Amino acid sequence: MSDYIETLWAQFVIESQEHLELIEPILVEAEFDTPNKEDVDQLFRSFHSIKGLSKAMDLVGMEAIAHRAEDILGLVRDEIIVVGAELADALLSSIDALKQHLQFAESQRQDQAPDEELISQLETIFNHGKDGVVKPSSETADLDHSTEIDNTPESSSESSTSSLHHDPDMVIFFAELLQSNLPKIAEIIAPESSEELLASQELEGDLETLIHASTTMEFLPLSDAFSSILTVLSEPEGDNALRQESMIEAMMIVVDLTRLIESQVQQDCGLENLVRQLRICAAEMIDGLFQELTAQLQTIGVSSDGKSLNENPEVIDLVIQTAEKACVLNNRLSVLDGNDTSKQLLMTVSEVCNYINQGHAVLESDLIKLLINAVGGAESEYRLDKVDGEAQDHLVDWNALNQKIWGVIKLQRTDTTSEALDSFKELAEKIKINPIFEDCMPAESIRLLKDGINEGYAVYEALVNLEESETFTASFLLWVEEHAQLITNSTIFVDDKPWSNCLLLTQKPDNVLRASVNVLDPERQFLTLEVCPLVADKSPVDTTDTANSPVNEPATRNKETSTGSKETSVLRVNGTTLDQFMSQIGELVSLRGTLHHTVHTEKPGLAINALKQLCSGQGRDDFNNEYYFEQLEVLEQQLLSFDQIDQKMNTVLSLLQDSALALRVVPMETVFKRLPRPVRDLAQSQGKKVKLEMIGQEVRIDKAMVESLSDPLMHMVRNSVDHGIELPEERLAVGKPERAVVGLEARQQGNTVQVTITDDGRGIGVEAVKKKALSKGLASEKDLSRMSDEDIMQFIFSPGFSTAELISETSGRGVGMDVVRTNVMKLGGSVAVSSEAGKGSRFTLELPLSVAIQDTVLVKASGHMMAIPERYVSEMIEIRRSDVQSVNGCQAVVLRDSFLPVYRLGPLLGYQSVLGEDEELMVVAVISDGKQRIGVVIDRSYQRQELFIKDIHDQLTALPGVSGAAILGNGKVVLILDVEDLFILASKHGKTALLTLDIGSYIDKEFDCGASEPVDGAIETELLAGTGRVA
Amino acid sequence: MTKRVMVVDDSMIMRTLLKDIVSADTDLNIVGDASDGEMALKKVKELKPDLILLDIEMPKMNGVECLKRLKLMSPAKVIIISSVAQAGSKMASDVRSLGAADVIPKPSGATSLDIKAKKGHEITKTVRKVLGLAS
Repeated sequence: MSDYIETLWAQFVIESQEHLELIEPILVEAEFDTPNKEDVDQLFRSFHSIKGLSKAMDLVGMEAIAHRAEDILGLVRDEIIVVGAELADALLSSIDALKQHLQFAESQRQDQAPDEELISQLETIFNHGKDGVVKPSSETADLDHSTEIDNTPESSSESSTSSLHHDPDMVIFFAELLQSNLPKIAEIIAPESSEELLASQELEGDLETLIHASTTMEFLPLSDAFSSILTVLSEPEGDNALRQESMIEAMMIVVDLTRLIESQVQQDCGLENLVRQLRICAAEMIDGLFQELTAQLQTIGVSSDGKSLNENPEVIDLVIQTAEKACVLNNRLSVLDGNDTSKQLLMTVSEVCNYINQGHAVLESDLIKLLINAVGGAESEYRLDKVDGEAQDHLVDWNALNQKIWGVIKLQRTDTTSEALDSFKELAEKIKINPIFEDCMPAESIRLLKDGINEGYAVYEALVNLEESETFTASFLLWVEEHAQLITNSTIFVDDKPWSNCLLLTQKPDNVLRASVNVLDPERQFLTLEVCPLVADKSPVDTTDTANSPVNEPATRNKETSTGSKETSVLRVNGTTLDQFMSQIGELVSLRGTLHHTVHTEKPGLAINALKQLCSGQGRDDFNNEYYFEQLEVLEQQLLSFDQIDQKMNTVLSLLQDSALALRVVPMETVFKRLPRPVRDLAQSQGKKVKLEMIGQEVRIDKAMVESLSDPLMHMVRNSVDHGIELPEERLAVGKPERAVVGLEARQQGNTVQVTITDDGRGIGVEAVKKKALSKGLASEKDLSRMSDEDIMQFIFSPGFSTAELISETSGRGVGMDVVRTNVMKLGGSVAVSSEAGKGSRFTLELPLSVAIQDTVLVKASGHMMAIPERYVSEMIEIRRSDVQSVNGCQAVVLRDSFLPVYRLGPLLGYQSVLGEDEELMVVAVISDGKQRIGVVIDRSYQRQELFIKDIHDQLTALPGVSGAAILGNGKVVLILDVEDLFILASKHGKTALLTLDIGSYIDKEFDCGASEPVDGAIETELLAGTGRVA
Repeated sequence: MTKRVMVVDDSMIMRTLLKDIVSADTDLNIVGDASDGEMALKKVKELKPDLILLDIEMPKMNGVECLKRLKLMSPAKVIIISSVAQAGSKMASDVRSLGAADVIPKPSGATSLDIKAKKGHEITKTVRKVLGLAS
């Protein structure tokens, strides 16, 4: 039971947080003066949900706040009050309060009394809004009406349901329903789709839905029609012609009523197309039935050949019946305006006539009359001059009629539809083309395609989902415009979602096209592109590709996206779990290093060789040389396979490491989303108008960087608003728009992420910076005169730099630009500034993609390998012992006109110094963080190396001078030095690392690790062993 | 045969709670859920529920819009469970006139565990009544 409560709490917190995060940006958005409907709805919904959630958790305080906010938004939604800055403020305060309540509730599982001031503020707004309304009389009437209805719920529900089809909304919904369900049905019952009219379960479901809907709407004939379609489909037995007939009957009603509904629906809802499709479908069905009738007539003709029809009354009956039907059908067809197909009909009828005419010189007059009716009706469709009664009253000149008919038939032969069908076949002989397009390819599209293919253009089939993402849909349309010509498209349903199958003609090369597709849809969520290969160069692979993949691929992929709705697509992983995971991978890497070392040590090989020699050389009789030799071979093989396993393991491990790294990244949004609020608050408090524009929220950065990046960014953005942006009147005076723009842009460039912060404010005056730099003694007049403006600007990042001109009273938050730089450097990045007086400033941060990967320089000191982050190493120099001078109790060398204090790196870190260090020539790494600079003497330096930094045991991170550890390719552990710590160590314990002193067994008690504490893991063990600092 | 019930609510907690309440009745079987109106319309076709518990305030498509469409698409009875449809409110009468079989104000003022005790009975009773099951 307690698990259940815990789950509820967790869900409560997550849901509430999501709501708060969703709505805060809406309120912060400066344009909220004129909110759009969706925003207000969203706000209302979120507050409403929070209210409900907190109520359910018995958090009365939270509920009270959310409730008030919801009430107000209800008024906003009904357009009774307008949102202004004051209201937005109040709502933001509510969000703040809710957040605070939520936090308290999460940690304490307790309610808090709401802030009374806030509540009364919200209530005032609400009451004010409510009272300020002059209630329109209609609304009052409405309300009265509603109470009335409420008193008699039973009867009212009856009466209003009966008037459903007068409700325009409902008619639209009904139209939508027809729209979504009918095309499939029409497709299936179309004559050519299948000979057996069998209903799939899905189709039955659709039909049942339609029946239900039409009954509800009281479109009773329509519901009858759907019922009879369903009956025909679900009862496969029975006369095929009869079944088709009732199907046609039903379709006629469907067409008529759909047309009627279309005329009722005021807005364009695509029903027009549907009507057209249905008409064609019905016409085709009639046509099919006609053909069947023709066949019947022919059979009759053949069987009665040479006989007088008078002798076969049943035959005559049959012919009459058939012709009657034909007549009725024909009339229907003319109702359908199905021009194209009624031409076919005419042809059919003419064939019947023709046959009868040839087989029987004299026909029963009834029959003739019926046929004449039929032909006449059909013919009237074509002849613009009216067909008056005369043809019906007299005997027909069959030959003349035949000629006319054949004339029509000839006309029909040149008709586009049949040509199109032929051409499509032709086309399909040239390229592999999805037959799905056959139905939606007018002649001119085919011509376009043929011409294109002859020109050497390529044809692609693109399967796109244009219903999921607006942004994607928009960019897809642009993409098509730029890259290809859209020939035709049809819709298919994958997992109930409509996908558009587009046929594209393009002259762009395949790689260009695919590259652009990668940009368009990097995740391959919405688009698959398949080339339609020329038939000539078909290979078995291609054929299966085009036949299967466009349909199947999205089907499987779509399952992921469709089930991956908002709740499940994001897997929440506890940060600690992730860190553990990372560190275990590190362990694995380290173990693999050991394995590698074990496998590659020469010893077993040497031992085997020695034994082999022993076996072959001596030739002693008492010992089966052959046998031992074989055993040794086995061992040798074993060694080889170990080697192979080791190599494979290496590959797998590096893949694992890469994917683990990918787990650590989060979108920039995580950092950015914290900024709008403070910017808004600050701007408001200073009476400035600021718009914060953020680009690149999707850029991914290391999770570990989020926290450390937040503060510097926040500081810089605040700085821009605080110092950079002028008051609105000042801006207007210099011809700038009243509202300033602060821009934040994140971009990934190779292995780095670049974040720029721009503003269009007053900029930073170089002169002011110069003056301050002089007064602070950061540089001499002479220095400054030699420096470029850009370099001078960088003084902004110097410690203690602040000018009255630059810093206003709102700053002084304890973080200066120097701290920004320090933080950014700690992350392995850099920061630069440029500015133009009057135009604005631009700060650029360059950050590595991941703090887990650092560029380092490998060095050896006191016999131990260690790594110094590369960005701190300004140069490597060689010094002579004789160059070293004593200065203020330190030892230093002169490097380019200034003193460089020099220490031994090993002893500085507490290692014992190793004999032989006191050589005449010494290698010194010059380390600088932009503020301080020291030189450390090392044994030697190695190559630059990118290292994957691992977290180490907490106790060990307390070791001074060590920031972490990494594993080298050979599995060896290397310490990564913390340069800031090195400076501290140098100033505190520098004497222990003087060049002339050999302090030997110096142990700093302060950093002594208790040996009693068990330490797990290869890294820790190796680390402890290596430092020699453990008692 | 058990009756098929579907729950439509944008709050996971509410869905969890409602499912819990309904499935306690052996005559009722939860066949699925949806977190907004659009999803509900998509799912109702395959789930073929006999009864739908429908919230009003939801993203994408709210309960009222959903109800109108549901009445066309499905013979399922619909019970509105929402706090914006308190007894006597205009909303309550609106949804009734649109064909909701009944309206239950959302469980409120109760801790999660009490819901079953306080409102569960009412919900189950209403569901059974609407479905024509013996009470």
